[in-house]
Amino acid sequence: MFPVMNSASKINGILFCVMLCAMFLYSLPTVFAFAGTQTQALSLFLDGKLVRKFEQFYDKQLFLRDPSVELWANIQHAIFREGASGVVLGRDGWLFTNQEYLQPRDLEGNLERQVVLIDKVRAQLAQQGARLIVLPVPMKLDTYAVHSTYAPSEQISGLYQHFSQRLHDHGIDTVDLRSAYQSAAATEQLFLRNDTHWSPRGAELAAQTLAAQFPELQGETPYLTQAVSEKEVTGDLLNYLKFDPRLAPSYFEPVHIQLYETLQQSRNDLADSLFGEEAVSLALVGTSYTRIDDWNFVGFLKEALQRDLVSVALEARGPFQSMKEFLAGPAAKSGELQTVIWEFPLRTLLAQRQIPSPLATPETAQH
Amino acid sequence: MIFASNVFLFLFLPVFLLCYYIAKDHWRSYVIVLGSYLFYAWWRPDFLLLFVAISYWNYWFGLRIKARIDAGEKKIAFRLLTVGVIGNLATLGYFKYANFGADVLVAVLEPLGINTFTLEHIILPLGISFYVFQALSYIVDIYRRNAEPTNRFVDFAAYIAIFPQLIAGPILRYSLIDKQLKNRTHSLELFSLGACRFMLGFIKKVLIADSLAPMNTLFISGGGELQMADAWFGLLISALQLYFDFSGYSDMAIGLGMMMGFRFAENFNQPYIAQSITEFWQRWHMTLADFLRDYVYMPLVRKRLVGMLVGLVITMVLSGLWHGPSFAFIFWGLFFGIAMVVERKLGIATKVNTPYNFWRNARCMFVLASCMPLFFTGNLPHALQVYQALIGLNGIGSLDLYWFGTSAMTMTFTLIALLWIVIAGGINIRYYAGTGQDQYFMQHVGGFSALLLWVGFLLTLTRLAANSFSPFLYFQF
Repeated sequence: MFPVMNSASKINGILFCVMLCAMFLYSLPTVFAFAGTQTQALSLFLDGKLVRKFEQFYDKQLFLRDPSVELWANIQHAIFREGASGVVLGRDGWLFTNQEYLQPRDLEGNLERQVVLIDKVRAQLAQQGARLIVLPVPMKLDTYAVHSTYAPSEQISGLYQHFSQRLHDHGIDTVDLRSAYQSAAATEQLFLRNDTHWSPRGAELAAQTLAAQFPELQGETPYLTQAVSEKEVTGDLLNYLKFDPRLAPSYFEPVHIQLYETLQQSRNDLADSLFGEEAVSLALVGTSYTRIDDWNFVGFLKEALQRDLVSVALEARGPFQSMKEFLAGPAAKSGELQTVIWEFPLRTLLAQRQIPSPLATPETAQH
Repeated sequence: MIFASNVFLFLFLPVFLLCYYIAKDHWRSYVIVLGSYLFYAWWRPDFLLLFVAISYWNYWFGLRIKARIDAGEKKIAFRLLTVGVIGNLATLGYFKYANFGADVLVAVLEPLGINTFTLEHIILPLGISFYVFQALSYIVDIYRRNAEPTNRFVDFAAYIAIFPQLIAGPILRYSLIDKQLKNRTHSLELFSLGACRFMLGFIKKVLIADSLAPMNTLFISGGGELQMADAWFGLLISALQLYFDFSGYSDMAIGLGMMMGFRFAENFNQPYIAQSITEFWQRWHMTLADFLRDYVYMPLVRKRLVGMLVGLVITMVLSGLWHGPSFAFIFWGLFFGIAMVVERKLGIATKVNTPYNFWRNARCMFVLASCMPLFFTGNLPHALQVYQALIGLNGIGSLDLYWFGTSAMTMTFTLIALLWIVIAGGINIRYYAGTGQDQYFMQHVGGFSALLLWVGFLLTLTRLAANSFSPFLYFQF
């Protein structure tokens, strides 16, 4: 026999038994608690679902769980200066998503596939008599590279211009938001320090830039935005920090934002608004940058363009899925649309997974 | 259920051990069967019926074969054996290879304009490759008179179902375990040894293998985007993860067996210090290699159905097919078969006691790495993409994919895994070189000192609690 462990002190066996007994006794209340909540136990058991439910329930109740998560996060941060996989710690309390660092090998191919899909959307909208304007949202890493521990590659910092050029080549209008962001980044906070999204000021600047670059979109309905309150934003990137806040307090310092409300100022056509139907010829399609009310992008855009618009935006589904839902929805089929603004986070171009086609497909029967 | 789960460790295991040790000797097989069936049904209760049916099928054939042999009717015994073996292989073939066979048939017939068919996806029952092999070894050993059949179905059911090795081995041979089924010794010493062995496996699986999993996932899913550095690094990670995952599982199984008074066969003997592919298979998944040697290779060669070298290739191709129903695994097995034939022809096949030479080891590892993309991807087109990356056709490449896809802590676990292999490998080499203190080193360093073992185990428990769930790689086989 080759060398393997072939003897052990009895104390190990005794300790092991003591540990098993103690943990078993500790587990009993959890078992009874779970048993008390189940009504269709047999059918769920036969499906194999009951044990999965029980395991999840048991794991969540285990007293070791939260301290263990924190222990490993503490070790990871103390030794490696890292958060959980998904976040990259920057300087001065800034956090970045690792999606902006994960550059696909076939970036050019990725880009080409997405530009082709965008062009198909343009063609479909053109058939309906509507014009497409793409609003690429710059990457946080590109805008605030100064706060990043790792400098973005040239391909990342040049991606915005490259993408815009490719869209121009296909005859697609784009907003050059990056230039405006680069100019303002040093003095204004355009992205939230602890979040993947822009700040209200970033959203406002995007709206103003779009209005300045496409003056023909200007309407005549006055809208006014005003600050209504303040809010403390925890930030989605903080979900990846499970270590003790005392280890690196700057990441956990709260970010306060101003909340805004945009209201129509005109009183003359109140009667029309109440009793008439106003056709809306401008649509905004977007992602969580548009969808989350805290940023007030829709409001800022209304104010900047002085006109009403219809908005379709989804959280955490990406711009293509949002466009797919928009094209399948009533707004796209109304026949009144003249312009569609597509808020498009640039980091989508780095997506490793397959991008869904946004083109509306005929619905199939579900039986 | 999996060993590396809180429910197994803190609920199933204490209850099972309590019942087992309370029961009298006569009833312990019943406790093993009931516990093992519960362990199996935890995944899907419906496949338990198949499991019981296979157990009874082989039990019945075992008794009949023995009766015919005792009556001097060897031909009838052989026919019974043939029917028994066909029943087992047909079951394994249906569940494991029907989808693959249907796909191949469709691919062949469609270009000829022949109407094809679709086969509803067949779910592979958990552990079927392992328990069917064990059942086969039972009836073959009885036919060969290497073992006596048991008259109690519960003893046979316990042999097939015993939960520590039910899902991923090591493959038990009836002839090596039949006496233990009837009579075994229980002692605190053996229980303690089992507990330590279990803890060691637990550390290997949860702390090391699972920590490497994110990088391995990146490698496997990287496909056509991998560049050369990524691909070679990914190959290293996959090799480390597979070894620590599978050998960790084997250690846990062996340890649990000891807690019940069993001595299971060893399954790994530091495979990454092998100096030839032939030696690699003497060190890697040893119970499978022994099974294939005794029940496939030897019958082929002894009955002069084929020559030794052809027999070797056929055996390894079947080994590949056993690992997975795809052309990638078939080519993987073929690769090993040819490599072993070449080694024999060139006289470079080594054994476990051949004095260690670094360059032989490096050559063997390179050959091994050459076929690993087939194994890790299990898919021929995907493996070809990895091969392209390995030879630099996608560019030399940076490691962005790994740097930002995983973490420095994960990279550190890679270094720990490498260090582990170097230390344990070094001790193993010293052992075969015959130097004096090796067993001491194995106990206190390679096998972990008790204090180190407990610290590692408790740390691993917190890791498990933090991760909550960690499936085993080898489940797919």
